[in-house]
Amino acid sequence: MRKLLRAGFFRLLRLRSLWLSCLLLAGVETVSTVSRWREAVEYGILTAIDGGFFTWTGIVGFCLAIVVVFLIGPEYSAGTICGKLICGHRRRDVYLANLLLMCASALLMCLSAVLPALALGLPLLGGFKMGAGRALWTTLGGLAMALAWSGLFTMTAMLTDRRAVAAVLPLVLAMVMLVAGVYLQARLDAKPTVQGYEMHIDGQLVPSEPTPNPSYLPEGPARTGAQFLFDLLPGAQSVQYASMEAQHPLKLTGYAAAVFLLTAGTGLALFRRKDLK
Amino acid sequence: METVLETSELTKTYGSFRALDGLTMRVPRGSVYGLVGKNGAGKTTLMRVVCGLQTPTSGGYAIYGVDSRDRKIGGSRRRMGAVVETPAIYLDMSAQNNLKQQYRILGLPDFSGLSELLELVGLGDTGKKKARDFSLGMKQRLGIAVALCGSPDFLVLDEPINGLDPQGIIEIRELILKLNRERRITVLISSHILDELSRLATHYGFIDRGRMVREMSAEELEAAARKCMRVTVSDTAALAPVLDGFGAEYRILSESQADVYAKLNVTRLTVALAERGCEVRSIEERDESLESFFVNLLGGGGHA
Repeated sequence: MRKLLRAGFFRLLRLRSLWLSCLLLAGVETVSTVSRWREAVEYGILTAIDGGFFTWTGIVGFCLAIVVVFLIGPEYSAGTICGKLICGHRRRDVYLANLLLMCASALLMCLSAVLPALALGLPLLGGFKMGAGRALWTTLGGLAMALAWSGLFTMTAMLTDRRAVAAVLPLVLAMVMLVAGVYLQARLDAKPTVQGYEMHIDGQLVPSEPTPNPSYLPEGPARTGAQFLFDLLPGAQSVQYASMEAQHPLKLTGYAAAVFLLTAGTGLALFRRKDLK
Repeated sequence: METVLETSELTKTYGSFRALDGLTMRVPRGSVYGLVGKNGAGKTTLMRVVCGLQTPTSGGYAIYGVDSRDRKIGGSRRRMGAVVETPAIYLDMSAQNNLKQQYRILGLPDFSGLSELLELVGLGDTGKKKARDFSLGMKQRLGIAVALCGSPDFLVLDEPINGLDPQGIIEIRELILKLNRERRITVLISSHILDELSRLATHYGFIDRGRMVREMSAEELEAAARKCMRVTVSDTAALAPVLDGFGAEYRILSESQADVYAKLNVTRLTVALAERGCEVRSIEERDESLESFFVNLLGGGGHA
């Protein structure tokens, strides 16, 4: 596997999509930090580094989807994945080498976002309002979520040998998961009732009787299931971290680890039995 | 004779379709083994299975005597190179970088021999040109060069001259012959272009519906190939009853041509035809080609 990793890193470090993704994440964090600092200076608003520090968690999934499309996607169409097996490498090694490359990409992307945000944010905006310990756990949770994305994308890429499908599937998956995350957040945040207003003859608006909110998920299996998915899915975790609603980063980290292990195990088992063309 | 590849009752099914149906074959060391069969006969499936890309449903195979289910099969695979369907090359890399990448994948300590390899396949002057800008023939040659990294002594080539222009076909043919004769590399090759295959192969395997119909050496093929007389006459309708009268086996090719698989007295034949008002325009002796042998063996219902 050492040989595969060496060859893989040679390709990875020359992958434009990886560096553009890192640049994008660093740019987003830089712009976010600087704009909040300018607002603070111009309007005298008291602010902290927390506000935009986790913006990267919302887009890192997309960035990883783009990297997997260019890193693993062409391996089937170019026949190089077959080349590795023909010359005696084991399927397990080929799969794990690609998974590790994706994990390395995730780590690199996280560093690209976190380092400039810290380097600019700490001197310009000050420390974390949420506390350094919680900020650290949330950042590590974000990294775990990025690793879960990596496991998921590696599995889909390693099991998809159709070129067109391999080119779009990770992006579609990222999109669907993020939309699912936003939807789950909206349903879970929905209040039981909606406050309506009535207009009197004299033109005054007065509150009417609150009406039941159809989007509200009452306590029960449906709400428990939705909450479980909201905590489990990497797309939903992205939404939680980016909107700073992640109340239990440690629990989310556990879920992310479970997704990573599950996708890695399933992907590896299926890849070992897959007929390659 | 030492065997490089040996399959035993190899079977591969996709659902209810049997792509390989108890196929048994032997590829002798130092040979150029031509795999001949119609479309869908199982040639590519056989190569995929042998290369470890697919698992046989039943039966097995051995490379250099090591069974495919043995954990040591990886060691045997390191002694082989292959181009199955598409050449395994990174299109965003130059020829040289593709070979360097393969060297890394193989874990070779340095890049020695890389330039010689590029020269061998005629890509020594491609410089920084990306593989995506190569012609089909160049990509094919680069694929062979990648397969040759690590100095394998068994090469598996699936349709290596498909889609190439005449010049490309000649280049690949000469390359394969050079590898076989100068480097003693055993080659397993499939091709639809039977005439081209007959210029390369020292051994043949005729495969049909996933089964090995016949294996033979080029010498055996030559001996088995029937000689015939190609007779051109004014009317083959008159020729047929005459040949029937002689008890000769024949095949009518057109209104004026027929192949006769018998040694006939030309004077008697000419006289007999003249009596029926049929004119003999020419008679030539012909050897049966690989193509006609293939057609006779497997029938002409599909494409080779």
